[in-house]
Amino acid sequence: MHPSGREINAEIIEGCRRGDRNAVRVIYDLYKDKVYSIALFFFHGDVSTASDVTQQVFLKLLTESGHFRGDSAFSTWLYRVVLNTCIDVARTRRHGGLQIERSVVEGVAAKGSNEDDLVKRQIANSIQTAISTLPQKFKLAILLRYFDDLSYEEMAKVLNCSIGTVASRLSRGHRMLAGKLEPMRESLAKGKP
Amino acid sequence: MQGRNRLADPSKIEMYRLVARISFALAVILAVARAARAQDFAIQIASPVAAQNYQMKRSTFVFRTTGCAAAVPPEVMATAEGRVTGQRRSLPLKVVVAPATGVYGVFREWPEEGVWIVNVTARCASTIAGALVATDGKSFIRESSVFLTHKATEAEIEAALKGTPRK
Amino acid sequence: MIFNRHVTDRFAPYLDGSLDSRMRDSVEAHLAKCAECRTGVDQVRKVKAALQEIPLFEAPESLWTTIEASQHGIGKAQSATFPNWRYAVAALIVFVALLGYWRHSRQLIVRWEVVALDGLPIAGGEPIVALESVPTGEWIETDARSRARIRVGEIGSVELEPNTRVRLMASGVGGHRLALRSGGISAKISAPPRLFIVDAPAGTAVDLGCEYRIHCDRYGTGTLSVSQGWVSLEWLRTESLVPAGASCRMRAGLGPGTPWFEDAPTQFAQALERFDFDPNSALDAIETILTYSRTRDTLTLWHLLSRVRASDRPRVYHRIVKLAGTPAGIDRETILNLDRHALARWKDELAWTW
Repeated sequence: MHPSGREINAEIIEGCRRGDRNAVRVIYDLYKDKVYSIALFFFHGDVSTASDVTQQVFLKLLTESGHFRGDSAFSTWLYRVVLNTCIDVARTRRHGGLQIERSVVEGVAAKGSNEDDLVKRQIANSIQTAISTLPQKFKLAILLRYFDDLSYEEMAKVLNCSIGTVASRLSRGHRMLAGKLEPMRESLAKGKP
Repeated sequence: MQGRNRLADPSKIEMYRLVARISFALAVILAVARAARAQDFAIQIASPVAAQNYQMKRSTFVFRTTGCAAAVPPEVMATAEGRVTGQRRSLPLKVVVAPATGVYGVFREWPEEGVWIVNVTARCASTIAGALVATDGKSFIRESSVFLTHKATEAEIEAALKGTPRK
Repeated sequence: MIFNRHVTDRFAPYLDGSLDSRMRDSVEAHLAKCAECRTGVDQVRKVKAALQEIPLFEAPESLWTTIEASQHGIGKAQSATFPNWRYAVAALIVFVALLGYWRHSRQLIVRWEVVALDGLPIAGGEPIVALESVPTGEWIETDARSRARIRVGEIGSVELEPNTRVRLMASGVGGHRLALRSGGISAKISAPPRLFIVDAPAGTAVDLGCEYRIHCDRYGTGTLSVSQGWVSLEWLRTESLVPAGASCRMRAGLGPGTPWFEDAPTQFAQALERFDFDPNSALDAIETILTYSRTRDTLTLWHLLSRVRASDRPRVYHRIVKLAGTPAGIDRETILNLDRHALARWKDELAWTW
């Protein structure tokens, strides 16, 4: 899992509200890769849409951080913006994208390359595909859990549902993924550290 | 001990025969369906515009597989097979994948000189499909490309190289 | 028989350690008796382990630049609305600062690098000897003996053929734009879509990632030919998608015609030109187009669906179906009614035959 950025203090948030470029840059540096990764998985590896979404999220940060009332963690508010942006863009766009170089499938494993690396890459590809094809509500729960290690309570606030619903979506999402990845059961077992 | 053998009951024997016939018929149907599904698995090629993504625009061609019922995407690989000044050469190629649409791109990594084809192999569970894609500089030649229900043999590759128009 | 409810909805929080002790004990008691749930927990455990390995993907470096550029635009708009006089003064100061930044950044980013390839091309009335940095707004001209190359930001280049006249319209993080008045240019662009645009008199070529050549005379009549990738040629409400190996004509006042593959039969190409630009010949042109069309000419036929009269549309539709079939889930009536989504889906499928 990826460590969450809990270093946002009140001064930085206030700076964002004022449109302070440096404050926004701090948040951008902390969250850009997480936001981008969530968008990338949400939009089936579509790099240009993920970039658009990331851009829109941080622009909204500039224009709408005044709406943040401080009644939840800033990250909760930010991820709500991320999810709403993903959902809005999904309504209006077609997707079909290209994964970046991590998902390049090498054509030949036998000529001196590391077969384990190839297996791991193929597993990663398959997992990424499987997540992309989950129904939206399960996909969002999985992405929030694994890209920023949000607690169930925080996820409930982001997703605007109960903690029980978060638990159910995560459980069902995992089981759906298990079903999709069933043929790779052996490879998954090998790929474990 | 009564020694009664229930299987000797005629009505039950008839019932068991009927069940056996139905099971056999089902097994045949399943086997045929599986064979039909295996025949459906194929590779389809197209020019880069079919990928609908600008990052594919410099690819020589894109391809996708059809008829794969497995939950996991099929495994694919590609090599460039060529003949340069009479010498036979084979180069592994990087296949760039777009998972959502299941579209793969093949980019030119082989030299300008000589005649080259791209040997694509895809595997869906235990079913294999192949394609020998003729190329000419920047693009592919659909009419000279060959589609197979197995991995291409060396003889088929040689035949495809001979059949590819010279630039 | 005691009803034993499965705990499937608690697999994830159980493995995450997010259940309270009472709930955890309850789940463990159930797992001790239920093989199905034990299998389920094991599956979820394996998936969790695999998901732990998912790497973070790095956001592109250029994103912050784009956000910053937008931020300055936002700052300018916001400062103009404050009613209070103190804020008005602050707004004026901000405006002046932004104006200075804007003029400074114009000097930094909106000059184009132009190289003379042959002879002496002219930029802003002055000859280019070797390499020149030319500001946006200037004209670049070549005569019969000269050629030039214009660098388009970081995304590619454009070569000017002899007897060509272009104007440098805009260049920046939002995109680059040229106006072609006459002559020919060849563009090689490697960038996300819609970052490079060429305005010709009878059509706007919107780059979708490609190499292409566009040529037109001073009246706007010309041709766009794509050698790699694809281009959208647009004019008013007409759009023609031109992929590699295809061309599209343009006529002043009429805009772009219908794209066609350059290896199509001559009769096909000539009939298409008549259909596009000679209204009196349109009817018999359609017949010839349909007769000589091949499978990959469904590129042309797909475009024709929205360009022929409604009464001719079924013939075009049937010809496409005969050549390439219909993909599942696309209804004949929605196509004949020119439903945008159905047409787009059919195009995406037909592209596999081009």
